[in-house]
Amino acid sequence: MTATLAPTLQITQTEPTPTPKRDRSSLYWGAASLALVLGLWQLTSVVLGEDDSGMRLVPSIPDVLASFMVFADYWPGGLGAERTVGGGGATVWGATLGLIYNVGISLSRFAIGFILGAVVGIGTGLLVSWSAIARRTVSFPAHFFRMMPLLAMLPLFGLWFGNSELGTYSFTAFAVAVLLFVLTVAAVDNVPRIYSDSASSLGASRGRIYLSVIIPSITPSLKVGILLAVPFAWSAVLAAEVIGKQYGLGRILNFALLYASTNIVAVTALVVVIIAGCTHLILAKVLNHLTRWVD
Amino acid sequence: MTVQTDARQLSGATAHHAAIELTNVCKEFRLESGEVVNSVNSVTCRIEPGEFICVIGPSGHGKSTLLNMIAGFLPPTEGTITVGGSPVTKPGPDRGVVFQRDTLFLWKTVAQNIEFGLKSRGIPKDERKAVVAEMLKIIGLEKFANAWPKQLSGGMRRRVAIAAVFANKPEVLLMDEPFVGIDYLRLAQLHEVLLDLWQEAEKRAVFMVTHDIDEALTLADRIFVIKHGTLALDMKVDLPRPRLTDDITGPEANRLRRRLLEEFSR
Repeated sequence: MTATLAPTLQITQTEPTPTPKRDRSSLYWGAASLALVLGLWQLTSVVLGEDDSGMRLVPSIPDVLASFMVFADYWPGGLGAERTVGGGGATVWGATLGLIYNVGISLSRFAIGFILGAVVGIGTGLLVSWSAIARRTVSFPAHFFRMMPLLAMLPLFGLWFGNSELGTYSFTAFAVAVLLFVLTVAAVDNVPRIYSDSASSLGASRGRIYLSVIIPSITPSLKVGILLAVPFAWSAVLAAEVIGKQYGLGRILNFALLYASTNIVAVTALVVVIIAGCTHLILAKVLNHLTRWVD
Repeated sequence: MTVQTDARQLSGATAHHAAIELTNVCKEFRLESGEVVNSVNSVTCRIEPGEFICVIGPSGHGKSTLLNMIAGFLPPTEGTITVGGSPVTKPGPDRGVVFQRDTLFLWKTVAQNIEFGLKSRGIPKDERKAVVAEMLKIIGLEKFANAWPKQLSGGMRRRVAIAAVFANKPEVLLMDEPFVGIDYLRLAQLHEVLLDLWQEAEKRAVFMVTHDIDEALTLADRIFVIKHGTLALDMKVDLPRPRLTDDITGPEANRLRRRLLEEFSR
């Protein structure tokens, strides 16, 4: 007990790292490429021009920005902005309220569907993975569902749930759950056996091994799956909003397509990209914290 | 029989059982081609409490299979294995295992890794904290109690892995080439840590697979040579402890080394 190894300690993280100067160059490159994309966009819009019916195939950037006002048409009225359908003029205030309102509605559908799908998908994945027999029994039907073209299933959900919110939630949840279920089962399958061997030779019960070895060890794989499911779930929400919904970003998109207003499609898509990007960033931050131990 | 009794009295053991006892242990594997391979072939041996055994031999000749059977990860095809008198049927905390591959739980801190076995066995929190603190002191990593494994060097991780197993106070310690790839200087430190922990409990037996003859001569009371799945040589190492460089390069050590090399080349 006399030997201490203190003097020979190898400290890998000794130097207090000075707050690193932010490398701005990637920022500049990002800005430059964004400018390039916008420039090309505008150029394409001008070159392609309008087709015979007067529709712009590619909307110009000023058109897109101006069509922000369309959100005023999707505001149910109140807070000093009248419904445009009721004769009120479209105001910037009304458009802002309309934007917030519709983003809020779509976001709530996304959140409920996503959380429901994640809980069901990961939960059943973990339940099934507990037993090897259950895993084998369920993995074929799961792959079968995964191969099913999701958007083609939408009418079925319409038939089952009508135009109720439950239909939107369950459709989104279905999209997320199938993906995460398959990923969870595969992740549990891939946990190196040496971990459970080591834990059982330390005296851990099967339940403890599952809860404190298997589940934490698959969190990095789940993180990848959850982040993959974000754009997936957003597509499902927007698609579901097409059927029988009065509000929501998917509804606006659908109407814009109906009237071939490419500029409205573009501005709505822009909003979707920003919102989906934000949900991705927030989730990534939380998940990165949970997996901060990963090498 | 009397000799064995004496040996047990000498080692301070009061138990009447061997630490590890193998009787005619065989292990067959069926390859994908359908061919049957005898990995371990009728091994019989008795390891007394407190003994330090090093097992050497060529790769693929059954050393690790033997260890995995004692650990309870693999059932023997034939024969019986007992640890502390009770037959081995599955892994258990009486047999601590240090693997060649890194098995630290990356999602647990150093302290939580050391605590894992104690927690699994339902040891009260106060006692757990005390054991963890003691272990951290022995391995010289007090400052790293709350570090993630990824923040440690390879040698530090090995020390934590050993401490995690020793914290559990197993009767028998099984080690499968635990120090492969560790540089020479750090190896000496790790040997010291291992011997400290081993000597802390009088009756604790160690069964360690290694490739390194010098390591075996530094650590072992007895060296087993496993060839073609059989126990080809069971050699006592009568060198004084602690073993200094002079001891493991002296004439007696060289005689033992020579015998091992002869056994290898046969």
